[in-house]
Amino acid sequence: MSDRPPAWRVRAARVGRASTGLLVALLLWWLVTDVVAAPGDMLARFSPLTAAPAIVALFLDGAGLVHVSVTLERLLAGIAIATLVGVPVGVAVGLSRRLADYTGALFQFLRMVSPLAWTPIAIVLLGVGDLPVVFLVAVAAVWPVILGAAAGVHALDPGWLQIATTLGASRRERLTTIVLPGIRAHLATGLRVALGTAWIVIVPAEMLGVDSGLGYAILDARDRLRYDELMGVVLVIGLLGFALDGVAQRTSARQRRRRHTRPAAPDAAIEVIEAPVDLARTR
Amino acid sequence: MGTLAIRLTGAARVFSTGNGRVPAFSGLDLEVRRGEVHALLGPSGCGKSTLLRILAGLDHLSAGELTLPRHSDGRPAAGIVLQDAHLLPWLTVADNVALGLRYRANRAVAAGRVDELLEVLGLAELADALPAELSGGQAQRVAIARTMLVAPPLLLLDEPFAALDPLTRRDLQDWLLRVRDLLDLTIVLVTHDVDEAIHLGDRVTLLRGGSRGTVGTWDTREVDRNSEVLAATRHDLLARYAATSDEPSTVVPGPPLGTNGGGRLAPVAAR
Ligand SMILES: Nc1ncnc2c1ncn2[C@@H]1O[C@H](COP(=O)(O)OP(=O)(O)OP(=O)(O)O)[C@@H](O)[C@H]1O
Ligand SMILES: [Mg+2]
Repeated sequence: MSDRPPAWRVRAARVGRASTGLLVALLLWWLVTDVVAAPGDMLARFSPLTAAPAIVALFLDGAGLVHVSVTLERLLAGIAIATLVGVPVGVAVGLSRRLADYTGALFQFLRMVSPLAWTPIAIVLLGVGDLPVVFLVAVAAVWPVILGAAAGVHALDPGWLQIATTLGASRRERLTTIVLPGIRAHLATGLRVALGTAWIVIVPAEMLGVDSGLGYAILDARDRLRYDELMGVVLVIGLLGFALDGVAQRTSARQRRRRHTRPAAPDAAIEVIEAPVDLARTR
Repeated sequence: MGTLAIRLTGAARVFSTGNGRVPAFSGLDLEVRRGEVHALLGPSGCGKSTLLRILAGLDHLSAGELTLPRHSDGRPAAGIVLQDAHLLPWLTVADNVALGLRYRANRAVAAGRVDELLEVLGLAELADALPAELSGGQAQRVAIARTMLVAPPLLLLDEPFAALDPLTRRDLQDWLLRVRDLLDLTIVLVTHDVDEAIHLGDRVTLLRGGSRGTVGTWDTREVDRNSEVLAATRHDLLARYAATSDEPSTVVPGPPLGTNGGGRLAPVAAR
């Protein structure tokens, strides 16, 4: 006879509360646009009562799906580039204190510049179209990947590297058998943060010189004065972001379970790069 | 008396720190014979771990000479096992033991040896377990198996059983003695525990506190069987251990001190 409720009840209660929160928000939205605002008001055009059917219509005629898939493609391309660049850089910075010293201030500086600030440069260099969007996503996503990889290297057990050394592993072999598999949990956390940042950046990035994608869909709806559709797209953006983070969270939780390591808090991944592990002279 | 596996003469390791130069040990002479279990006993901070890391090729001497079996690339042919198992948590027991096979340096080692070794070491049932599912004693056995797979003629153990409860420790000590009889190994064992040193060691070297050489080396092969000699040796070692633990650790290495304190009981002079 435990006085603690069973796990499914705790979970059901949580889901219940979360749903209530969402419903209350929806109700407030409706109150503001349909009750508080006068019928002819600008505000009334953003009503949930018109947004819902508009979004259904957008998906029924196929345009919605195209926007979503184009945005997801650009997102994945940007994340892929960020991973290809970020993992080697993060590992290198994690392994070499000297490199960490050289890059520490520079990375902090670059990280604090909003990726959108690079927009004009991206367009000048890459033209209009998919490329600058992918570039901006990659710029936004690369920092959490770098920091996640570097934090993963710092969290490696130095004993693993020493044992590998005495087993005759070369530098390269230590990298492939110890370092890369050993940082997966931290990397998964970094990627999750990267995905969230990239999702936030991709919408405004798509407002610049492209003619598809969710960001474009918002501008397009505005230009056609279709505020119902505009609000619908906003809803889709939120829902997709929610779903993406859910997937990323599950993946990174699975990684953590597999490695039996402590969860790497996103905050830990953001920490300044220091105290590198020396692969060459495993002390 | 059998050939030597390790010879150290006038060995020193000095660390440069913010507070000046700190010797981990200095004026150290040591001889380890092939096929023996040589226990290194000494107070905390006298340089035992540093010495073992140097024997394993993870660090280097600041002065003195070291002779030991080496691979063709110059790497010491020695495997080390640390106080904690340091198993890779994402690999099964079998894959952890097989880690050495993934390195080019061990391409001569047959893959079939993993199963054989797990069998010999009594780990076969654990082959598919993950490290998180192992007890401390099991994990340490796996760590020893991983090192033995690449067949180093020299096995270095740095307080491998210190983190285990007394019963498990006793189990693993007996296990180690059996394994050592099965495989032709030279073992250097670092320990804090006088009884463990006597029980496992063929010879015991007591390192001097204050990082200055050794007090002496005791032959303990026959000691286990004779309770009177055991009691006397134990008493002698404990007394000298206590005495040397109190010696202040001076920072500047002085002239080399005598390396053979001459215990009452058959201390073996360095040869
Ligand atoms: N990398 C290092 N840098 C500076 N000093 C070090 C380093 N490694 C060891 N030392 C110093 O060398 C001395 C010997 O350390 P060591 O770990 O070898 O002792 P130990 O005999 O193994 O001690 P314990 O029994 O506590 O394990 C200590 O004073 C330690 O502070
Ligand atoms: Mg030690």
